[in-house]
Amino acid sequence: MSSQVETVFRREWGRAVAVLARLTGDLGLAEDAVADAFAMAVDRWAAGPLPSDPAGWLIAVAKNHAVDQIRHESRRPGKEEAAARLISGRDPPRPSGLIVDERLRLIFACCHPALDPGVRVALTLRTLCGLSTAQIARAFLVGETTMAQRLVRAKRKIRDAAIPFRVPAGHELPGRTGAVLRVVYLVFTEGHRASAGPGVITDELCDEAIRLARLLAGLRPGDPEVLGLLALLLLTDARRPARATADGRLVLLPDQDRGRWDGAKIGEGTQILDRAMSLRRPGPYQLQAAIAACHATATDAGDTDWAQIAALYAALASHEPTPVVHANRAVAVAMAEGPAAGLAILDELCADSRTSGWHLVHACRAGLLRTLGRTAEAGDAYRAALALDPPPAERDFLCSRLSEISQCPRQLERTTMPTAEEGIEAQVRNIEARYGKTMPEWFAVIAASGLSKHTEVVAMLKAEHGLAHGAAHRVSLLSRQAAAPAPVSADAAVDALYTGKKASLRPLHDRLMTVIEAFGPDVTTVPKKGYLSIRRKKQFAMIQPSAAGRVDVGLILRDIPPAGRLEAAGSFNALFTHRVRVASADDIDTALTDWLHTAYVSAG
Amino acid sequence: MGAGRRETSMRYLLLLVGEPDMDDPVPGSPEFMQMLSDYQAATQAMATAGVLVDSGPLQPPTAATTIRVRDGEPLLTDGPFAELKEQIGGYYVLDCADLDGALRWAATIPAARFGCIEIRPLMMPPDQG
Repeated sequence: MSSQVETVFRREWGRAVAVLARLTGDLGLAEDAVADAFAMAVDRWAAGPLPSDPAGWLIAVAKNHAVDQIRHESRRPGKEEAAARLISGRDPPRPSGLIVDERLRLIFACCHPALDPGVRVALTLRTLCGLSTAQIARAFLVGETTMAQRLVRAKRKIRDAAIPFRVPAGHELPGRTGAVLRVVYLVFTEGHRASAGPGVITDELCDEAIRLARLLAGLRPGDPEVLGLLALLLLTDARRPARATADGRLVLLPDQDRGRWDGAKIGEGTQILDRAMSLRRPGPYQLQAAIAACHATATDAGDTDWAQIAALYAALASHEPTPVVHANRAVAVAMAEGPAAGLAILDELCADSRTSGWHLVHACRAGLLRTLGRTAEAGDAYRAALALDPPPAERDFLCSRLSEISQCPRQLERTTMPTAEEGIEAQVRNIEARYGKTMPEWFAVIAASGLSKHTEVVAMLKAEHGLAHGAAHRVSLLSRQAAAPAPVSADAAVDALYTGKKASLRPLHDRLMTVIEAFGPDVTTVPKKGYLSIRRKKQFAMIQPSAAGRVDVGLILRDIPPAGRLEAAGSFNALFTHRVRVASADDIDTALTDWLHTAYVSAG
Repeated sequence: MGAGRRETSMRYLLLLVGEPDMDDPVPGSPEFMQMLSDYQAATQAMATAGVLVDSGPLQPPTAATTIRVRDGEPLLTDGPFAELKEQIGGYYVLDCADLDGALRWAATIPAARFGCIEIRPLMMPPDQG
C-alpha cells in the first residue's frame, strides 16, 4: 500500500466499515466491500492525486462492491431489496439515540453482551481499527487460524441473530458500558505498545481510543469509570511526544524529556480524574489514572512517589488480579522498598503456573536479580523471558541485557518499557547529578557516620546533606547491597556437583561440554539443583552426575521416539523427553553428538 | 437474514427451558398463581405491541413421542429426542427488529427467572417465506 493510501486507510477504515455495516447489517460483507474499495484505491490513487473527499469516494465504491456481492448471493432472501437501497444511496431510518457517531454504533455492536467476551476486543480491532488478523492473533497469543475462525463466527452471529448497530437506549446503557470501556482501553494499549512492528507508535489507534473515550464521557458524564478511562488515556498519551527518538525507538519513562510532555493533556487528565474521584466510586480505570498522574506530576524520575504508586497497584490488584498488575506492583515495591522486596513478589508469580507464562514477569525478575548482583539467575530469567516470545522492541532490550551479563559488551539499546532496575539507574544518575556526589562517595559518608539502621541513615542523609526522602532511601538501600557478599559463581556451582564420589565423573562432564559448546557461541549453562541445565534460547539438554558412577544426559527431542540407549526420560526429569546414560568416554559418540545437536537446533 | 432487516424484521423462536436445580413454584401456591398471571401479562403485552406470532405451553416430556424414518420405515420411540435434565416447557415466536428487541421481550417471560430461555433466530424473514 502506498503511504498516501495507508494514511487514509488508518483514518477512514473504521468509519467506512461502520457505515457499510449499518447499511447491510452484515459485518463480514461490510469489511470485504471496504477492503475491495481500498484495493481499488491503491491502483487509482497511485497514478494521480487523492480525490477531494477520499472517505466519500471509498464509501461509494464500497457500496457498489456490496451491491455486487449481494446480487451474487441471490439464494439469500431480501438481498435484492437491500441492493436496491444501497444503489439509491437512501439510508434506512437511523435508529434513535443521542449519538450518531458511526464508530460508536459499531463498537456497541462489537461489544454486544450476546457475543463471547473473548472475541469483542478482537472484533473491534479488526473492524473498527483495521488491524490484520495476524496482528490481533499475536496480541492475543493465539494462532492466526484460531483468531480468523473466532472473528468469522462472531461476524456470522451478528448477521444471523440481527445484533443491531446502535447505541443502546438510556436504561440499557449502564449495563452495556463496561464492555465498551474495556475494548477502548485495549485499543489504546495496542496503539501505545505498538505491537504492529518495531519502531512504530501507532498514533491513530491512540487518537481513536481517546476520541471514543471522549464520546463515551459525553454519553455518560456521571459514570466515574468512564471519566477514569478518559483521564487514564489522556495522562498516558501526554507522554507520547517524549516516548520515541527521532528514528522511532522507544525511550524509557525515567529517561524521557519531561519538558516534551503534553502539558495540556496532563492538565485535562488530572482535572477529569479529580471529577471522577469526587463521585466516590473508585474502580480500576480511576486507579490506573491515579498511577499515571503520579508519574505525570513528578518533576523528575527521582521525585516519583513510588510508595503511593505501590499502594495504588495493591488496590488495583484487588480489582484486577492479573499478572501485569502484580508485576507492576512488584516493580513499584522494588522502587519504594528495594529490589529484594519486589523480587519476593515476582518469585511467587514465577512459581505460579497461571502467571509463569508471561514474559514480563520473568523480564522484571531478571532486572531485579541483576540489580542484586545475582548474575547467573538473572541470565536464566532473561532467557526465560526471551523464550516466551516478547514483542520485538522488548526482545532487543532483553538480548542486550543478556549479552551484557554474558560479558559480551555491546552498546545498550534503550528500547523497552521501564523495569525497576531501569528506574533505579535513572534515579541514581539523578541523585549523583543533583547532590554532587557519586554513589561510592555516598557509601563512604554512610560508613563514616557509623549508623547501620536504614531509618537512621535516611534521617541523617536528609538532615545533614539535604537529600529528598526518595533519594536518601535509595542511597541507603544501595549502600546495604554494596556491603553484601558477592554471589556464588557458575563455575563454583559446577564444581559443587562433582564432589566426593562423583569427582571421578568430571572428565566425562568436561568432554560432553566440549562437544556441546562446539555447536555455537550461544550455548549457555545454568546450574540447577543436582544438574547443569544447558540452553540456547530455550533449555535443550542437561548433564547430571549419578551416584551409580555414570553421568546422565537429559535431552529435549520432541519428534524422535525413544529407542535403545536413547531412553524415554520418564520419571528421570519431567523437563526432558529423553535420557542417555554415559558410563565412559566411548559413550560420547557420533550418535549422542547427533542427538545433542538436534536438540540444540530445535532450541534456536 | 441480516440485510435489509430494519425494514422487514426478524423472527425469533424463544425456547422456555426449565432447569432442575431451580425451585419452581408449586402448583396451587400463591407464587404459582402469580407466575401464571405474569405469563398472561407478558403475552398480552407482546400481542398489544404486535410482536407476538405464536406461543404456547407444552405438555411434559413424558407425553412426547419421537419419530425417525429409516429406509422408508417409521421408527418410534417413547419420550423426547434426547434425555436432558433441562426440559423445554413452552415456546414463543416473536417478530422483532433485532436481537435487542427479542432480548427485551424474553426478559419479561417468567421462565427467564425460573429457568432460562434460548433465543434462536429463524432462518427466513416472514415476508420472504
